[in-house]
Amino acid sequence: MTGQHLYSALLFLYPKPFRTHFGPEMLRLYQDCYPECNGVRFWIETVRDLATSIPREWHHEFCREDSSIDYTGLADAVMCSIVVGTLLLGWGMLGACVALRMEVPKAGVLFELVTIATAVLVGIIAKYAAARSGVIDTTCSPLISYERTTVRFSR
Amino acid sequence: MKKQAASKTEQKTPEEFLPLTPAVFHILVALGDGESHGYAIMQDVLAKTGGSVRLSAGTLYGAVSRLLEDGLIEELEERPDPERDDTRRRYYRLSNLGGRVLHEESNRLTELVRTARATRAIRKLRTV
Repeated sequence: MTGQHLYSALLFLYPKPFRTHFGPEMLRLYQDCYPECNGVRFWIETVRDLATSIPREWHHEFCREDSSIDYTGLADAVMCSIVVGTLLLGWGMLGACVALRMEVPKAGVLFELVTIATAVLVGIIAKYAAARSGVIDTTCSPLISYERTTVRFSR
Repeated sequence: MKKQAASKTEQKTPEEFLPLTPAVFHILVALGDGESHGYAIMQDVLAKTGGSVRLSAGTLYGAVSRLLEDGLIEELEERPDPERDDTRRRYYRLSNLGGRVLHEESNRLTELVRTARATRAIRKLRTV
């Protein structure tokens, strides 16, 4: 991967409206600036710049009245991360205990956590499967506005 | 973005934008001499500050984005000729409001410098 590809990939960390408007010009700026700078120094400055400007642009995007952030997708992504994280930790811990022939600590709590996470994951998959097949018409996350989900029963 | 700029322009007076951040002030100064694109602005700031201020891409375009929204600068509709320049470049120029804001900020800074020079500490250094 060349430096330009890496820089281009890093630009994806900016909010979409900002990236769409300024991304091509920032890439052009990279092409202009890179030959002038020492490689290592350039990347140190770039990382420092990204670390400050990306949170600032996201904050600005969240505060904008006409923000184009997909809150439903964001909520789903956070929910999926929590569920998958819990499952990985739970199964990982169980697997490690079995492999090392250790007693599972707080087995009851762990079992409940894994069961709840699995149930939520099944719920999410079922929601997307239903939405895809046209059984339900939803543009919202089941977490943030369940009541807005309209169920269409096919005859 | 242009609609937003227009509505904000109607609401705000030049004094309400003050004080400007150093990056914004340098960008407005760079555009004070005419239209320019991002890389030229960066080079101009570097040259005018004797190499002490180097605007990075994120800071530059973050500030440009805010200036466009506030209506202090405008983006030129026409793109450069593909044979002469890269079409990805966008050119910016100072708006009337941007010019007045730059004028007000320059006056404010001049006043600050005058006040600082009148202090005893600086007068003492001058006489030495």
